[in-house]
Amino acid sequence: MGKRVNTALLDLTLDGVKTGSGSVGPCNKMVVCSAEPTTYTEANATYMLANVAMSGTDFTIAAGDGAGTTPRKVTSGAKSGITVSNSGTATHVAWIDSANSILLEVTTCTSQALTSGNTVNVPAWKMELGAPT
Amino acid sequence: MRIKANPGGFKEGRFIFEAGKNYEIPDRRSYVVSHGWATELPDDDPEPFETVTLGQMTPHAPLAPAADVTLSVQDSVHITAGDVGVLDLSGGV
Repeated sequence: MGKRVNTALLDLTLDGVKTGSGSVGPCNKMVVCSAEPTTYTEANATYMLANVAMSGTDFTIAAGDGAGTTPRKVTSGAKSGITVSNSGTATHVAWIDSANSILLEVTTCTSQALTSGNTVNVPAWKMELGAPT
Repeated sequence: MRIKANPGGFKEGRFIFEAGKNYEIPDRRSYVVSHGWATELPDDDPEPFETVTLGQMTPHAPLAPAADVTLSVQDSVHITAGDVGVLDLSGGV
């Protein structure tokens, strides 16, 4: 027996990142963190090493790279020259909605020491949504 | 510096010291330590060994900071609900 999901339904989630959906989103800030944030406060303050403003034009919603496995994705564009606010070792990157104090999405990055006052570049990365299994 | 070390205290491949571990173990396998990294020595290496603990060694350090660095970010792929942590949106977390 198969399970299916309409890609429009998946896009509602991705729209939450790009344009906002209901009371969630949009993402208006990307944060580099020194540990995995599990709350908005941890992402925006406790573990925050650097952050950069984001807007809807920074995000692109498209077909996922996993074909039927991950039908849809949202990709954030690369951000360069982000000033490091706090020294530490970057291990995670997160999208947050500071208007509603919501942690939207967290991913990992290869450990990298950052020094306050220097700059950091975050390449494009994506969140892919999978089909039901 | 040479030490007696517990292979179980290292990660495979490139051996990384772990905080809180004592590397004085009667396994008697030997390692060369340099800047927090360790490599195995031949059993017949003639050099004397020195037993040390992590506090006496420089722990593994991440990549040295640079003025302008680029992160290597992994994509986030949601295959099933069990693969990701679920964020509680109540209370504005």
